[in-house]
This record gives sequence, C-alpha cells and structure tokens, in this order.
Amino acid sequence: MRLLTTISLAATVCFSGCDVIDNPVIDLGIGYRGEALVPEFSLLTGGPRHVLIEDFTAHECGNCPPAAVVAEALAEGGGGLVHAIAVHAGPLAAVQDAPFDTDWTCEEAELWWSQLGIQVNPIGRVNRRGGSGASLPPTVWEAEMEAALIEPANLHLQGLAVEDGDDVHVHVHGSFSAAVEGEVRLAVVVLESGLVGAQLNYASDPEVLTDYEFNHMLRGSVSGGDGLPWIADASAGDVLQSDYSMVWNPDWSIENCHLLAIATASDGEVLAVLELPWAE
Amino acid sequence: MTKIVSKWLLGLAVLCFCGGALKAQDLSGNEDQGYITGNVQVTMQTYNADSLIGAVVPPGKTGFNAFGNLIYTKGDFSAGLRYESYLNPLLGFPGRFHGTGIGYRFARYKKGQFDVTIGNFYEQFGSGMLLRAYEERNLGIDNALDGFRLIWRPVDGLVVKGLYGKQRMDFDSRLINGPGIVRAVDAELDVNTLIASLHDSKTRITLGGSFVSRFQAGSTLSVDTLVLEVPQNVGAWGYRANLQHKGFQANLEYVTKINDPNADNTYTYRRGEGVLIGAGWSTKGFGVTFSGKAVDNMSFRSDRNLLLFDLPINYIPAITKLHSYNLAATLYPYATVIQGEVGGSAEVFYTLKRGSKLGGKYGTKIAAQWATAFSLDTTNLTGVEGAVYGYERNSWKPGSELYIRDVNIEISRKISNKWKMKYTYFHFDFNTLATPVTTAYKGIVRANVHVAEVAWRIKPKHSLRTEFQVLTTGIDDDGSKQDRGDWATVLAEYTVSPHWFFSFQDQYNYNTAEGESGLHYIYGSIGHIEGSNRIAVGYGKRREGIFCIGGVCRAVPASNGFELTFTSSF
Repeated sequence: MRLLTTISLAATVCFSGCDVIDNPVIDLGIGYRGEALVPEFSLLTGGPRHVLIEDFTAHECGNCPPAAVVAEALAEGGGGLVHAIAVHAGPLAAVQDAPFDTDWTCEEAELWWSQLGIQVNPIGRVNRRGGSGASLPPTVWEAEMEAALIEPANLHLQGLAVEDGDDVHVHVHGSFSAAVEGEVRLAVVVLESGLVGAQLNYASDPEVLTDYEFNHMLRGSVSGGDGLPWIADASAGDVLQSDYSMVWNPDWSIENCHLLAIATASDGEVLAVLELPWAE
Repeated sequence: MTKIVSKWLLGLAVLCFCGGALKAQDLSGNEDQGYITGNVQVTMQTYNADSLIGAVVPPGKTGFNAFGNLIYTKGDFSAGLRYESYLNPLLGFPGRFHGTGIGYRFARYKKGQFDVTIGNFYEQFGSGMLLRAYEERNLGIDNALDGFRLIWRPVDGLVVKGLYGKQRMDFDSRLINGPGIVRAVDAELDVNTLIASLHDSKTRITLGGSFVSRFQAGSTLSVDTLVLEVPQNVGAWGYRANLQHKGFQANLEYVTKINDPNADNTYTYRRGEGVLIGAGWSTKGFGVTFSGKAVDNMSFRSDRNLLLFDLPINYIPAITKLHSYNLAATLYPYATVIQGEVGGSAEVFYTLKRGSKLGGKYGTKIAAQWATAFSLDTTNLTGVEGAVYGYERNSWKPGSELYIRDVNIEISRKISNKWKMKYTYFHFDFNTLATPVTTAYKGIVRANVHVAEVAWRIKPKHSLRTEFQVLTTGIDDDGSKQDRGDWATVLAEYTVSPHWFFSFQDQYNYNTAEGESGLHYIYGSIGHIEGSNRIAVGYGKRREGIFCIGGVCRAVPASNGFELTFTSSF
C-alpha cells in the first residue's frame, strides 16, 4: 500500500510536469493565400526617413483631444513622411457606463501601453526613439519628429494592400542601404478613421462630447503588436519581401482603413514605417 | 533589511529558548538542551593597479567576502542560517552579489519515517545529471533550493524524496530566488535491504529513479521567422543502477529531458539525453577504473534564458580528473561542454611493494589516467527543422572535434622518515574553442606539465614542502608559440606545527608568443593557527586565470595586493 501510494504520488508529479510539444510552430494563419502572383517591386536603394508618431489616448482622457490635434497636424504637415496612430489604452480607455461604453482598445494597443516607461494619457512615442519604453509629452513631439526626420534611413520600404473578398493581402518589400545589427521585426497594423463616439474634452463645453471623431485609431494587426522577426544582422544590400493574407474583420470599415508597415530594430526603435497603398 | 535580520536572529533565539523550555518539560529526564555549532570565514583583499599583469583597482579599492553559519540542533530537530557579506565582493566573484544579510535559512526535523526540511536546502539525485543543488563558495556558485523537502522511508531499503522550491539566483542584502519552480521526486532502492534473502549477499545492488520538472511562465518565442510555443513545464527523468561485488563495482545512469528551448541550446526543441557508465576493480595495491559519458542537450536551468553559472538545476560531471597543482589546474582546466560531448576515461593505480627493487623501502605508488572528450556525431538540420530542432544526432560515437585529451601519470615515493617525493607529468590537447579558458589562442593547445613535489620533515614540528612546476606549450606551423607561452612555478611552504605556516610562490611566464620578457607573479603569505581558528595574511600578484572546482570554472582577473583570511569554527 505504501509503495502504491508512493508510485501514485510520483506519477502525479511526472504527468503534470511535462509539456511535450510535438510541433511547437504556431500557425499564425497569415501565410499568403491569394490566387494572384505576389507583386514584384523594383529595388529601392535610397529615400527619406519616415516617422511614426504614436499618440496614447483614451476616451475618458480630458487632455487627449488637444494631443490628437498635435499628432494629426504633424502627420498632415509631414508631406507623407509622418504617420500618426491613435493608440487607445490604459485605465482611461476602459469601458464604462454610457456614453463611454465602446471598447476602442485592442491587444496591440495594450501591448504597446505595457511597454511605456510612464503610463499616462496623453503620452506618445516618436519613432520609439530611446527604445520602446521612452514616452514623450505632446509638447516635444514636433521637435522629436524633426530630429527623427533628418536621420539617415537604413531600410527602405515599399508595399501594397490588396482587398480580395473576405481577405486582405499585404505585401511589404524592404531593402537595406546600411547594416543593422540584431533582429529586425516587421509589424503590419490596421488603422481606422472616421469612428464616432464619446470623448471627454476639458477644452470644450460641455466636456463630454458624444459625437467626437476618432482618426488613425489602432484597430488590430496582421502580425501582432511587436511584429514578426524579419531579418537578423542585416547587411547593406539585403533585400526581402513578406506576403501575408489576413481575414478582414467585418467590424472595420475597409474604406476608412489603411495599413501601416512598421519595421523595428532590436532596441525597439522604428527603422522604417510606410502607409501601404491600396491596390486599384 | 534590519527588520528581517532581527526577525531571524530573534527566531534563532526563540529556538534556543524553546530548547531550554523543552528540557524543563522532559519527563524522561533527558538533560539535552540542544547545541549550537557554527563557522565563520572572512576574506579581505586590497587592490593595487598593476599594468604589467592587467590588475585594476575596483571603485571600492578593497573587496570583502564573509559568511557565518549558525546551526542549532536538538535531537532530530535542527535549524540554522547563514549570514553573508559582500562589501564589495572580491574580484572574480559574481559582481552582482552585494550587501549584507541572510542568504540561507532552514529548519529540519525527523519523525518516524519522515524527514522534513523547510527553507533552504541542498540536494542531489544520483550523479547530479538531473538535480544537484549545491554550493561552491569559492566560485560564488550557490543554487540552493528554497521551499519544502520531504524524505520518506516507507520501508527498509527504500528512500523517497520529494521537493518543491525555487533556486537561489542572487544576493542583494537578502536571498533572491530565480523565477522558475523546481519540482522533483527521487526514489532509491537498496535491493539487499529490501529482500531479506539478499541481506548477506556479497553482491550489492542499488536502483534509483528520478523525475524533475521546472515550471517557468512563458508564451511564445521567435526563431527566424517562426513563432514557437514555449513549454512552461519541462520534465526530465532518469534511472540509475549500482552494482558491487567484492572488489568490482559498476554503475549506470541514463537521463532524458523533453523539449526545453533555452539559451544554452539556442532555443531549440530537441530532446536531451545523457548516459554515464562506470566500472572499476580494485584489490590490494592495484586498481583500475573506466568511465564513459555521453550527454546531448542536457543543460537544465530554472530560468531558460540564463547561461553559465546561473540557476543550473543539474550538474554534468567532467570526464577529466580535477587537478590540484597550480599550473595544471588553472591554465587548462576542462569543464564539460554543456551543449553535448562524448568522452571516456581510464585510470589505473598500482603500488610497487615495499622492499622490492623498484618499490624501495616504503613502496612506490603509481597512478595513471587517460581521459578524452569529443564533440557529438551530429548533422545540422536545415529549414524549419533546423530552426526548431537544430541538429540530429547520428550516433553516440565521438564526433570529429576533439575537446580535450588529458594524459597524466603520478609517481610518489617515501624516501625516508624525513623525505617524500612525488613526480607528476601531464599532457593536454586542449580545445580552447570548446572551453574558452584563454583569449590568446583559438584552437588545440598542446601542453606538457612536469611537477616535482618534495616534502621534508626538517625536525619535529618543522616541515618544508616544495613544488617545482614547468608548463610548456606547443609550437605552431608558423613557428609561433601557442597561447601565452611557457610557465614555471616554484612553491615553498614552511610549517611550524601546530601554530605557524609560511609560504612563498613565484609563477613565471616566459617564451611568450609575442616574445615579451617574462613576468613574475610573486605571492607570499604567513598564517597562524590556534585550535579551530586560522588567520593568514598574504601579499603579492596573482595572474588572471580560470579557477575550477569539480569541473565548474570561473574566470578570475589579475590582482595585486594584500589578502587577509580568517576562518573559525565552534
């Protein structure tokens, strides 16, 4: 009986202590499945640096609408080189009683929020300069953007987004004009504009606006917020292309959406960012 | 922190008090109040800059390592703690050890079939290839478990151990454990004790089996362009057997581990395996032993992301013998290649009889050993298979890359009542790419070491022991000397029993590859012993090198300065 008890206890420990994984590869379901051949891109060996401005915002953040104005103005004045994302995350973005009963957050937004060194709304990152934890108040976004714009671009992106029934195909082409140490990751995220909902705004009267228009809102991604590994220790002249297919979320109005390709270095800084044009 | 320390000291005081209280209630008349034992070790070192040997001065200018154990024992109950100080740590010790506080504490009692430990404890299953929680204080290695351990002896001859705990990883004025949880069970069966008819058999058989599991939170990891699922629970298990019959003994141990992507195996999912075989026979004046070892991907830690000395759950013994002579021990010490290796060794002992022509008046002892280890016989996989599993092993045969060949012979003879002599020769073919003990040479270093040791009892209570060592390295095809050239060491230790000892050592580096003039590393010390207390002061230069204990090695930087050591026990 004692031996039996001993063996039973040991067996319990053994069976519960092993995660045998026959095939550890996780199928993300984003392999290219379009019928059309993937597009070919001509080699791009130079070009200006693009800049990503991430505006961490929330519907119950009364100081956020002025920050959104700053981000949108910088993007509009950036001549196509500056890309803004409104990232709804943090406690003030939580679903509350009406009128703040819409969930504008997503997994990618929460991931990016978790990376911030200072978690407060409004706060932002500009090309994630200083690493993914660096967070900047809106007052310095412009200066940071100007500093980022004059940095040399080591990676040059081209791309295309193709609507195909329930799917959207994404093609991203990259060429390196200088070596980049460490792992480069590629994220493709979905942004939506023209969304209407409630927003607290201390600068308006009344402070609660029920028809506030949200633009460039982060809705999701093809690749996860951190993106997928793309290349390690890239050398000048390296060229690569990734082709993905995603099942489009019907909650997203495709005519109001655009996709951003974001390539990041191993320290989290944005190497390159590009708004993918929709195929005609 | 002070509060924590006070709490523990108070706890120990309470234990002592309870011991006294128990005495008062002991109706059996037992006067045992229990007792406290302990020991202290203090090492303080000063540092001077010395550009010749590359010695640097740390910001604190001195290093101070100290610890003291206090253990209270009363009958089958014991409890204790170890107080540690790193103010700041000595160079060569883990630099992240800081501060002063309690680094180890435990309570243990035995009652009937059960033996329970609460708090910190050390443990080893079999040879340690599955689990070995141990301490090598001089290397700064301490992976003590912190949790609960139960030892159960349900029947005579069977010992079952079960444990749950975290492992010590760091020290910053307190014990800091790693993130993983270790769960383990081990059973060892003494067949002769269990089966009455075998009680008096000359053949003794012991069987054992273990299972060890680590839990560490995790989700996915990326390898190339793949996203992979991380196993949070990694299990390893093994079996062992030991057979003894008169002068013959043999042992066999097999271990295996499921998919465990970690920093040691570059996050691949290959299973791990290990085999250890040993056999030996000895009779009066003669003995021979053989051992074989093959390990493949058996690195097992309680944090999958760490390397080197951090949080090892298991221990893979080295196939080579641990050498004690300075040059052989610190210039080319072999440590197991943790990713995998195949090796074997043979050792023979023979004593030439007293009074024989060759043996001399007191006899002569001869010991010789051959040990070697090679890479595994593998084929690298490509594509997704390569990214996930890395390689496949073709066989347990040795691969093409030599890691170590160590051949040594030792002849020792007592010449007279006053004189003893020992000569030892070592030959190493040492792959510095597999075991990177030097940055000066990449490849196979061929080294020969000759050591002559002479012990002379000058008069009652006065003795002198000297060592003369020479190490020469090979010459490459381009005519250059290998590694850092040749070395010679002279050591003299003069002892006036029972209280005093003096020592002097000069290590001389010559015939260097760069043709530099020789460097002397001179170190002298004086010490006093008073019962169980020992204090010593030394001054001089110590070269950078590799310090190894039990096949585990740590790089120690060069230093120049005073060293004060004090050890005591009660």
